[in-house]
Amino acid sequence: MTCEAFSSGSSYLHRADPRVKILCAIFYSVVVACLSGMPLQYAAFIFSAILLSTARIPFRMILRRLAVVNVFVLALWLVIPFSTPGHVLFHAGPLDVSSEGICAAFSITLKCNAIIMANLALLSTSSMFSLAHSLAHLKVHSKLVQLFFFTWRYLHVLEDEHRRMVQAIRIRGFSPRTDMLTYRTYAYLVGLLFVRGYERGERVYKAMLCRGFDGTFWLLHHFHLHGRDIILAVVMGLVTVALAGMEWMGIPH
Amino acid sequence: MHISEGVLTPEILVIGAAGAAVGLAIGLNGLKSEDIPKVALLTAAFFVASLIHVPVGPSSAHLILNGLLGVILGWQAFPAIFIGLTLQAVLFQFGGLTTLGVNTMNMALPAVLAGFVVRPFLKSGRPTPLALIVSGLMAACCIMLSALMVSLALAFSGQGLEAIGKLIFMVHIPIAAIEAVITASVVGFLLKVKPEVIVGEQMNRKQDTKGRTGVAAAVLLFLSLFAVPAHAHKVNVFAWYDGSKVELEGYFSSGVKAMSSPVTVTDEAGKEVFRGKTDDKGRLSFVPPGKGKYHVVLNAGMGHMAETDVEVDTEPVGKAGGVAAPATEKTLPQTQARDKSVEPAGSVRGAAPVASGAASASELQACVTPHEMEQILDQRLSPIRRELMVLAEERDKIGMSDVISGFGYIMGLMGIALYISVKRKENS
Repeated sequence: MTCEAFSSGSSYLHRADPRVKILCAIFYSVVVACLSGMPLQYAAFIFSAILLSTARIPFRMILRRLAVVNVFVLALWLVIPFSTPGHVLFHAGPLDVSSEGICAAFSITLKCNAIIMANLALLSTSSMFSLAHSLAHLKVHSKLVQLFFFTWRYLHVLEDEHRRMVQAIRIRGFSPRTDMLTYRTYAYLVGLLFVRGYERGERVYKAMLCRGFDGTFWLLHHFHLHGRDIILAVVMGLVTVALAGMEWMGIPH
Repeated sequence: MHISEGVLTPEILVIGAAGAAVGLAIGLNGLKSEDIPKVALLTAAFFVASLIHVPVGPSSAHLILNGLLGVILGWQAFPAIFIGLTLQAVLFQFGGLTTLGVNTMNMALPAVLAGFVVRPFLKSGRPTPLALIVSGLMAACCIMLSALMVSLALAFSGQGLEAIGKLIFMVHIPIAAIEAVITASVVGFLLKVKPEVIVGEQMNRKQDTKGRTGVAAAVLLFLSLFAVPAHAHKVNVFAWYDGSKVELEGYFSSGVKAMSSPVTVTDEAGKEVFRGKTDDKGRLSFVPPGKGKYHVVLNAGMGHMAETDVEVDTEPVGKAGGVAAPATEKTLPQTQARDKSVEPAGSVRGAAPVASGAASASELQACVTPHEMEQILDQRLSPIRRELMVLAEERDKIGMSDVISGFGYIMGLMGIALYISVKRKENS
């Protein structure tokens, strides 16, 4: 899995405190998702692009990631302009293209990309463990953080198991088709994955008991707010509040 | 089946987040700390399983397995799915932060329901045909329910998105069939190889009574989901003047009537002239104080308002009294009677109005003023107005019958397929 591809780096955003980044990402995303006016959506889009550029992630990697996500958006473009009633702009065969539909699709594209770029810049520049860690510091329910932590820890282990099983069935001449044999094989593969996961979970818990686990998840490393984190928080906070305020008062209309 | 960022309206996002929070709280509350590694490992297993692509004819689909998740984890399906979706949002930017609540709800609620239905059949710990059929059917229902919730969330977010919602629903029909086969096989496999994964989890759970309250909670959560959107989308109000009073009717775009909703009427100067509530059919009528334009505002709760203007172009009959009042009383029953005769005698009806029309035309020339004729026309046209309104409602309605028929279709097909496969296995 090409998972934490963006998490290594030394840019300003990579070094920022993940707690600040998580909070900024959540508030900014929620506000952008609620924007209704086109000018504000443009503003959010441009701001997200600037934010992402400060993360100094290779441009091609970003483009590839955004391209995958925009496949969903493309699907919207194939339907919304035709299905939204309103002022008919032109006819495309038997279908009418409405200007309202095009506006709606465009606004979704802007908002979606603005949020995703901001989250790439803020969240993907941290490793999963440091995100889990800061969730614990942000007083998220301890059980949820532990689940998150263990899931991420053993995801790769099970992924390896899965890869080995797929290799094993390939060696025995399996090639996937649309038939019962294929589905049953996949089902047994999934079943075996659960058996392995279940057994490993038991072993992990016993190992933890041996090391004196009593249900508390100790935090040894603590984050410290630096000047740069406060600057990030203030800038993001100001932009978020400005966007929310202008949306609330309906200024650009 | 993720809804991506920026598509849904804030209302839907809030409903989803609230529902997911309730589910998460129940799930985490029931999770004992010694089970955390196990549940986490199973969550990881589901995450890996969801990356498996199985061939479906010329294309392929990835497994969702939320039905199976519900069977194995019960209420813990909520945290498991929440974590899976969070990982996907952060790692691949699929779904998103703001839609996390809605997406969790869409996937986890059907999973929990499936778990409650299937688990009693698995108590014996043996892979009986009945147990496998039930788990397969519930897995298919689970996928279709998730698809239904996704399409409803989209439909309530915008008129143009409704089409996409329907498309998503259709696409998931074959996926549901595959999920049914795979889930039934996985359940069979697990019961044979390691029943603790399913049954052991179940034993950890408390007595039956607790299970029953759990079922009730899940069902309630599910029903509330349908009740809330009934208010959370467009509300319309129609108002017309029939010569004596203004009638109005409010309804939601799903066709549900806006019952006992407060209505305020103001005149052109903005002065309030009438205030009332719609009845249980969403209707209301009042006698306007005089000529002029009136502004009608219907408040359907939760910040959903509909407004419309109605023009009263003649002095209301009820007020004017004298000559006009008896005339309207005479014509009113007449129009109603004609309305009723529509079904039994269609051909006769065609001739009658022509004759009476011809008669009244000559009479009108002689004794009816244009002012009175307008009133009569208004009355005659009121059934047609009503017809138009019904049509408009019909047009705005979401194709719920399509959606429900889809369910039945799958259930039937899956039942037959599984029956045949089990029979064949018994024979061999």
